[in-house]
Amino acid sequence: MKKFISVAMALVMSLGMVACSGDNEGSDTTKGDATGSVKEESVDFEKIYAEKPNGELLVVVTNNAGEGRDVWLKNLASEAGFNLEIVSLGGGAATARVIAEANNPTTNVIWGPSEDQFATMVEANALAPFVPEWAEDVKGLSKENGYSWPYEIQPKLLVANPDQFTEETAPKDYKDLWEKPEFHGKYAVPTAFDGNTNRAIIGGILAQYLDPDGELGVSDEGWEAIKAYFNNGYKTPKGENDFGNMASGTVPITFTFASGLLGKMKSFNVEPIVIYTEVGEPTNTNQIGVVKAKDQKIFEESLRFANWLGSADVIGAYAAANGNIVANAKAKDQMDPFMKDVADKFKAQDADWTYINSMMDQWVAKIQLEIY
Amino acid sequence: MEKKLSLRTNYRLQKTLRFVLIALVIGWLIFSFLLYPNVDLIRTTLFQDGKLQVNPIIQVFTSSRVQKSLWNSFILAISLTLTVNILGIFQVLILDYFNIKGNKWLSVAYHAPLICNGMVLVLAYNFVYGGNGFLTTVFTRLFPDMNPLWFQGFWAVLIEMTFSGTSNHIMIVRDALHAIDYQTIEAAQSMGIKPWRVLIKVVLPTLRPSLFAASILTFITGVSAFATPQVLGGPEFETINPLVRSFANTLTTRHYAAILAIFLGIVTIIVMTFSNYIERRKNYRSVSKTKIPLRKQNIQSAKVRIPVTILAHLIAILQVLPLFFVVLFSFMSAKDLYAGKISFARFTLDNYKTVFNSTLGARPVLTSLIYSAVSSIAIVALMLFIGRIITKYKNRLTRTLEAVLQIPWFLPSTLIALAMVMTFSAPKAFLGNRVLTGTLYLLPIGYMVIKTPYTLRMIKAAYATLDESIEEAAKNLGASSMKTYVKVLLPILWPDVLSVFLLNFIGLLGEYSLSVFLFHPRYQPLGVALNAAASPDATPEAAMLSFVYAVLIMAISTLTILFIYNRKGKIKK
Repeated sequence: MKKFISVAMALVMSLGMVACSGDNEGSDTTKGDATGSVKEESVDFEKIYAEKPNGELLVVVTNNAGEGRDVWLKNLASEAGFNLEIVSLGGGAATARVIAEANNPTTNVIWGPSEDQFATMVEANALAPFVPEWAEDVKGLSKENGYSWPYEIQPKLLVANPDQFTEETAPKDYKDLWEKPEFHGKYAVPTAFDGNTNRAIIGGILAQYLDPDGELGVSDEGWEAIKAYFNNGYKTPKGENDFGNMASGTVPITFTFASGLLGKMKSFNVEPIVIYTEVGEPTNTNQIGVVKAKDQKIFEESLRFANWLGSADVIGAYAAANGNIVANAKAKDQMDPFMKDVADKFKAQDADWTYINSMMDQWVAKIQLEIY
Repeated sequence: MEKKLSLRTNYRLQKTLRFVLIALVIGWLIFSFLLYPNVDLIRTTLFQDGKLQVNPIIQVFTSSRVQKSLWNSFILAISLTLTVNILGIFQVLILDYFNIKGNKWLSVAYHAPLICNGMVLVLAYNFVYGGNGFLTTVFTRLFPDMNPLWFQGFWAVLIEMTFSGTSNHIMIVRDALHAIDYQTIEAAQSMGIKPWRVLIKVVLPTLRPSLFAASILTFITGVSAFATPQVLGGPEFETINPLVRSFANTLTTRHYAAILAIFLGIVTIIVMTFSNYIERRKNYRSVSKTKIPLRKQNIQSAKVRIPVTILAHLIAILQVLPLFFVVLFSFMSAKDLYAGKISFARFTLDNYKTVFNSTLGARPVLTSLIYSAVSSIAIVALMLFIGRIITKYKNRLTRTLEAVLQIPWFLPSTLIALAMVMTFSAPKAFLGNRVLTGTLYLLPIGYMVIKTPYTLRMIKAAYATLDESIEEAAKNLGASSMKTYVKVLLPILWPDVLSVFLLNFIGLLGEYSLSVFLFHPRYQPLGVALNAAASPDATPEAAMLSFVYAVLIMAISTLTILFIYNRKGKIKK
């Protein structure tokens, strides 16, 4: 009993701390004090880009380092005079890290997260203003924020097994999946909710049911739709691969981010039917940004590198090798032919993505707690 | 007479001074690295404008998914405590109490959970026994009617976690068995007590402190099960921790994670309080001053011996098989793996080449080696000290201290890491206005924090087996308390100390949740490299690299175990 009392005391103590420490730490949230030494407002981008790389070591965080792409980038960058330390992290982990370190960053350039993720980094005041020379060539693809710029367009594609479906019998739209019983149990649904692709799929569905009077801005019909979507789909457990299931026909319909399509097709030896839905594909761009820095030389080098990486030659070569859909208009011709075809055929779903992304965390929480 | 008195008061003053100094240092450590960051994070997530947000709490606990997952987690924890103890005690007795053929191989096999654990092992189970698994394919060919998803749900989770959860028994409980005085067994036997009763009435009671420690740890492992239910639980058996972690990952849902973490913490504290209460009621200690080492018993009846031997070997095979497959997988392509085809002709070194040709190369191996070793040594040393205080001075203060040190057990590592990064990214007065984020020190400090409760619990169990009279004897002979500790007590504790170090070290080698926030970009640990390979944006081919990293971790772990046993062997001589 004594033990219990002391434990209870410890709990009360820590709760007391919670209450007492009240608001005196408000200064924690004042943004970016620690990084004031670099003047970001008056940066002369043209002058910096004109200078040769100074060879300062840059820490580049990216989710584009798998399958030897890190070596490819490091070598190409080194030929151009850049000295890189490449840190491979998932998009979510990279974003969380940059935000958590906003006051004292350890990274310099971040390459790969989505515009939505970059928006949270901008909001956390973790990035430095950056305008690349190729800003004009990627104009209109995403909402400009003055900090991060798209290098890749990333539609989420619905794909189906070619032996079980033809273009006629395959679903025409996401709605078909839960509305038509013949697709029930035959399509994979998201099983995790922190990745961009899964979130975009959910956003793409709920976007069709926006209603300012509905719960969290979505009509009752919308919540019923997403419930039906999850209830009638297949929740691929870890240890199975949704694309592998599609290829083998066990679960013949799934979805993928566009840049993963070619690699997965090669892995599982299949050329699936790519479904171009009637409402269009949920699409985002993946972007490049520069993290705030204390050291002027490193800061300028970071800007130079980010500018170099997104330029038509470099990103074009990258897309040619890896099957990406480039954002830079001048690099379009370098794309892989299969992906160029996809790029020409898909239509980006028209929706208020800024609003959708702002609601996504709450939607996902509701889905996690009440629907999934 | 007067002289003596002043000496005595002087001695008291010294003691008080020492006490205050020690209390200050420990208090500062705990406040700076454990209490402040975590309490601050929980405060900012749960309170808005100084007010507790009640709505999310209601939302969380009215969710039927949460209720069901919580229920499943506790059922799992209770069942697991039972099964792991049964399997663990069985294995320990097979290795060291009974004479069973094939002891060397059994000993190697029973160490499997130390060498490979976590997500990679669970995936291996799935690729062997799961729906498309290699053995399932074989079985379904033999028995076409059988359900290919036979290894799914509660039982699959329980079995996997039981077979991979015996490391504490193999290390800590085994050490306790070694410390048994054989004379007690002989005495019981000479009184004509049957072998079975000797085991229950004489041997097992002396293992109590270590079994208690292992049980609590197993219970907590069960409550916080993460990888296994996700892979093997299937749609019907979801547990709470995957949900907590996914909430902890995004900013706007973090309060749900904090609420659930606090709830789990309170329940865990209640369970531990209860078990501590039972533990304190009775502890058996050997009182003999001249211990005779344990001698192995023969099982006389063949009717018992043969089935026990077969069972022992069967368990060994089941435990080693998945590890064997992890090694095989590291030579395979993603396509073959998911198709369930093993063909030695198609084995390739591509995965290994990709790992070593990457810009990281072998650096993560070295980084993890150093970080894990340094933090494991440091935390064991610190907990030897704190554990000594807690076991020697039993009062309200030390009990509070012990309770506070349990905090990292129930907070998700993600939250601990976030709390540390955010707290230490700005100068803090209590750290002399230093900024720790982005330095090399943050990760080892984080490792120490998450290993604190485990280390303390194990060290406490080791102290509990110490015979107080030995210490008194040394003091009566005029040794100072420091000398008594270093020269007399520490050597007795040493095997346990090495075991705890080993378990910490191996556990940290592949650590991910905390490392991913705290690592210095130039020094990436193995766990981060492994998980970057298996991240959701990675292609299946890239995910194969995680098996290579797992093989590397297995290799390092094996070498370390061999090294430690070598040291332990020398001590015995």
